[in-house]
Amino acid sequence: MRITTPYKLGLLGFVTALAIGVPVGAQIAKKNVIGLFTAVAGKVMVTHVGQPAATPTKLHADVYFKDAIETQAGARAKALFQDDSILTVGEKSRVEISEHVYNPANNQRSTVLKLVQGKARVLVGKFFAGAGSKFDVHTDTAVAAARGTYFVVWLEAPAGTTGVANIGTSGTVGFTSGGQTVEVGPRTFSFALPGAPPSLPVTITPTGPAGVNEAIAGTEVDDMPKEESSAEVAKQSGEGLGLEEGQPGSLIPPSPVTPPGVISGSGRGAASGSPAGSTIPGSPPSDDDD
Amino acid sequence: MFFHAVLLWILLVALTVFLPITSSYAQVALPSESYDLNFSKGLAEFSHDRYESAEPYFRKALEAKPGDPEATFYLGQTLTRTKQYEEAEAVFRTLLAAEPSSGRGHLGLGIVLYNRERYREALDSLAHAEKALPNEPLVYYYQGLSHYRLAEYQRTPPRLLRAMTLGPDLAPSAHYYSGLAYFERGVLDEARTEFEAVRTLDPQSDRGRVAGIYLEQIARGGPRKRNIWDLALSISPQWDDNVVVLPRGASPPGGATGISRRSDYRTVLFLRGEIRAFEQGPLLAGANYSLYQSFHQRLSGFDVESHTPVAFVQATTGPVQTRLQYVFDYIKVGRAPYLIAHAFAPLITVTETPALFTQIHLRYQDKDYQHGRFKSNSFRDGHNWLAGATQYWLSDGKTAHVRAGYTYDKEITGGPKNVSKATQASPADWASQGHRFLVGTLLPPIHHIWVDLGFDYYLQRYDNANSFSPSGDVVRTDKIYTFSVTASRQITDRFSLALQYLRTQADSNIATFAYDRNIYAAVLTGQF
Repeated sequence: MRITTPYKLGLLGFVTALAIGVPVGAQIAKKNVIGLFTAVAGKVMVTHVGQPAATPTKLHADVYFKDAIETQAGARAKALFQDDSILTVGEKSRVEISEHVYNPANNQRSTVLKLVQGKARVLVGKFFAGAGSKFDVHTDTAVAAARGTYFVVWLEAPAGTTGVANIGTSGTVGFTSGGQTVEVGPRTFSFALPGAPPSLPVTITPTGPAGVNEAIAGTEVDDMPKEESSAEVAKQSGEGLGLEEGQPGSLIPPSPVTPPGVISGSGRGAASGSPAGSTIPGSPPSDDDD
Repeated sequence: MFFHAVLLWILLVALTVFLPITSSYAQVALPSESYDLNFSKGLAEFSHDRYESAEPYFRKALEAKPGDPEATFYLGQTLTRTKQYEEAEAVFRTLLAAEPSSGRGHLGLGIVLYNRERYREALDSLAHAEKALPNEPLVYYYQGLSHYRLAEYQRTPPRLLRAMTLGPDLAPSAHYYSGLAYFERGVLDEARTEFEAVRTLDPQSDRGRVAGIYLEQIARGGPRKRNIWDLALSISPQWDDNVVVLPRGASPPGGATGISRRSDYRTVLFLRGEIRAFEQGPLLAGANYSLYQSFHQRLSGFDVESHTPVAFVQATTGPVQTRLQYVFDYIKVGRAPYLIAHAFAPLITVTETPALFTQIHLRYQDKDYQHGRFKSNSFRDGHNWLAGATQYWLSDGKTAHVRAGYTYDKEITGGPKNVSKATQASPADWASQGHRFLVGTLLPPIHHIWVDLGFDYYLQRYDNANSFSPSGDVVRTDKIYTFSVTASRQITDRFSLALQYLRTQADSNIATFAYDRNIYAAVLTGQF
């Protein structure tokens, strides 16, 4: 096939654009990183903004602004955000990161997550006093606004009831539904039917509603360290042995020929072959003389 | 609205009353946000190899949940990886107190004990780990290394073989240390196989390069066996343009009896033998004996005969090698007894990095000068204290180095201060303090020739007015500059040849002790 000049120019332009565009795109993408996955169990799919389809994610993969995280049956994921908040997504759940502004210089963080399906746990590690700071989890019919705490939000099928359990030891969750807000204090939970105001908070107990305890247990995920090979662990943990060239056990490198010092009066110089190489080559001029 | 409220109430009642409680959560306490947050952050830092950052998070996690095994384990790991072995040991012991059968706890402790060079204890801990984690390659790997460190070479390869079978990524280093163990035992076929495996698996690494060196040694007929003894003999023709008596570094006796101001040829014979009677792992003990004998062509009164037996004990602990030595000297000058000395001279070598090490020199010496050829020689009887250090910087491949050092010494003789008078010698003439500065370099070999250059400045300030000064009231100060250059080459496996030049310029404010000197020498050395 004969390649025409316009075709060549077009190809060149495309390659140039690709060469320039890919790193820039990567930079932009990197700029939008808001955290990383610290645990991924089972099949967890993530849709990044601008990507046509969800792709499986893995441990320590980055979390990007506007990501949608979706777990399949038996799967769970945990993400640590740069603002010291932690999101855990239970099985058969979908969470979308609708808004994330983190500006530590202005003491500002504004995050909105949308729980589309299933259950999610949020640990809001830091309190931000800057204007407009918030950490909300939305469902179709309710909003859970964290005020520095640790809580679980879940949706119950088929009625679409939203549940909120504050599992922290301090702080409250402002739970709004049907135009009304209740403060869900530490160790309490509340429900809200679609369009209805939330119930009064009730203390979480082991004998409480199964849905509450299942939501809490279902968002429990242990953090996972990175996979390390045995050789990496050994390297990091210390092997204590150097490359013992020439003379195992020696601290000092093998010596070149060292004659007795011209000015040796006794016992110095030629002894470069002393045990374990303790005499180094080219010893300083001896203080012995004749 | 009312309908919704009723429905919600019914739902809550139903949930509370009718639904069975199946959650596992029912059996556990609610989580701690402080623990969860700090543990997550700690583990994230740990996973990115940022161990210093990870440590405080694990500590905070443990504050939130004291005794938590996960946080304890990772704190121990973090401390191990930041080489805080003492603390790491305490953390793993805490973990094992709570979970005595924890395999990872025993493994962690075993690794820490190995790094603390407590190999026997490491093996005990690793034996427990083996029971709990029979398929963990690191258990066998550290067992192999511990046996190697204990010089139990026969037990090293089987452990390492098991390690690499379970963890193939350990193969390059496991083969390497197996090779070393076989090499130590003189089982060269197996050593060759192991080193060849290293070369195949890891040809570009330092380990691969060193394996190549061992293979070359094996190809040449085996390792230079570390006999329990060695012997060196040298013969050296020398020309000296100003023959000076300076055995064992002491200033020459004053006047023409010590500084000839005449040139002469001499032949020097040197013999040194050493026996290492005890060698077990990092411990070594033995003795050596050196004989130095010079024969001048004309100035036979300047001939030196020096006998120096030495007994030593040496221990290596990690990067520190300590050698304790007792040194005895019996020296004759001009066939007459000159000096009997006893010294205790520790030498400590600290390897900071593979390219950097320090030698610390200490010495206490008792000197008993003999009246023989030199009148009033015993006035010099006394003690000498010395302390100093020399720093070495090694090149890549350790074929060259640069060094710099300093030593201080103090000579203490008997007698009251400032009693010397002109022409009336006394012990006060010889009390002094010395400061020695040295620099030098060993250059990379060119055509197998090693060249060493050294410069040494010795400032010796005497304590008292000196009887050799014309008026008897001048406090002596010597400034001695020494430059040396040595070129040496191995001729055969056993013999080497060196050419040396040495220049000394001794400036003294008392003319009788000032001199210049140039020595040219060739040295043939045989090592056996």
